[in-house]
Amino acid sequence: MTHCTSFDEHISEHALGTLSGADAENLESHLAGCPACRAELKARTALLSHVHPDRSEPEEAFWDSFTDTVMAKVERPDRPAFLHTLFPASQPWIIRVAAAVLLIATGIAIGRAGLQQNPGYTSSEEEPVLNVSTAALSGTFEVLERSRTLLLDLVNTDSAEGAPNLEQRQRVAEELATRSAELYEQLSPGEQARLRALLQDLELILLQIAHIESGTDIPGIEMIRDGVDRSAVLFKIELESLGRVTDAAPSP
Amino acid sequence: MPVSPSIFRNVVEAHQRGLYYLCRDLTGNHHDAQDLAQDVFVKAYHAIDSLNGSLDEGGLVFAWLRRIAINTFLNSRRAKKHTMTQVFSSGHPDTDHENSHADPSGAHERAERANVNHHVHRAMTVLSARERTAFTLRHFHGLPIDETAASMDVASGTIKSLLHRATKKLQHELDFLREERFA
Repeated sequence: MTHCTSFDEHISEHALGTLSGADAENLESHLAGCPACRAELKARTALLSHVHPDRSEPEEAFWDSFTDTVMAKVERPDRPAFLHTLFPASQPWIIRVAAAVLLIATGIAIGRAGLQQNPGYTSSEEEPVLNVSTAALSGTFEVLERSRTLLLDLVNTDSAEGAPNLEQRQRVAEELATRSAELYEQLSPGEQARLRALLQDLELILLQIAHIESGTDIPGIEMIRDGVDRSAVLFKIELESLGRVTDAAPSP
Repeated sequence: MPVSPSIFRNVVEAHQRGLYYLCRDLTGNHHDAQDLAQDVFVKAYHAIDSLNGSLDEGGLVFAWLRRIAINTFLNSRRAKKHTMTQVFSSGHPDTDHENSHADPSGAHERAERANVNHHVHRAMTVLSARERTAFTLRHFHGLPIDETAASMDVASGTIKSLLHRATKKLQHELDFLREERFA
């Protein structure tokens, strides 16, 4: 026995305790004569009664270090966040000094090992090129990740609803399209050709999203979904992200 | 309106627990919640001019912090489903905090409840960031629709849609439990 779809949203609102006024009265009178909707309301209310937040307490020491870390970040905003994590102000100074010495020693050891393995690498002129490339790559993966979220959201939206909050999505799409175009120019045409092609596909789809006329432009949204399917852009983003994780993993 | 660090420390101490739990409900795990809550306080310190009121008004200050937390969370969220699956599994029967302090006489009932919690928290991973935010604010923190809408900077109708979609998704994900527990 299925419940009446026209009351579906009001059943959720009733179960969540947010239904009021005429809508509540309408639902109540409907429920009086509809056993299927009564059963659905009962099931949904029971479900929600089982959904609780996790309220397990962190250890008491957590709160002390929490305040100290926040205040250290506030008072010394130029200090990188990882240093607050490594050397929280709540630790005794001797431990912080020992940790700092250990960190510096490890850095020197890694640096020496690197120089021994690459004796030819002594020029500092190569560094800026490396930094630009690394920044572009990092920016590209950030754009891919954000685009994936946006596309998944759009692809998974119920067609009948149109596209809620389209304006907000369009602003994000426009920003990401601009960023894709910039990054396309920064990536190397040889070594990063695949990423460049992906950015190009993505830019086109993002621009389409940015130029949908309204939230009720169902054909426009369907066209974009088709475009996402045809270009397999989500699959390609997955592959690139996977490849990045694999590249970053230490070899056995 | 610059604020001295010592005064701001009082603000942190007054609101850190409430904000941390909100952040944990949003992110689903301790470590992300810790990072998010710290970011929120740092942003709040530097944006203290945007607080339209006094630091002594606790409710107003928390509403302001909550808004910063929601914006920061929604802006920074990445669609890493595996991470969310991992973090929401924290309510597993073996590690459930509530379970560890309970009376041994109702062990079976508690194990059942912990098992349901485990599945429920896993099901939360299917919600989008906005659905989870709306659901958290309304269902976990009891905010009225209009306050939830104001916190997320969207219309009330949007919140109702998000809540409905969240409820339907949870219902779908937990359908296998329905016969025995929810019907």
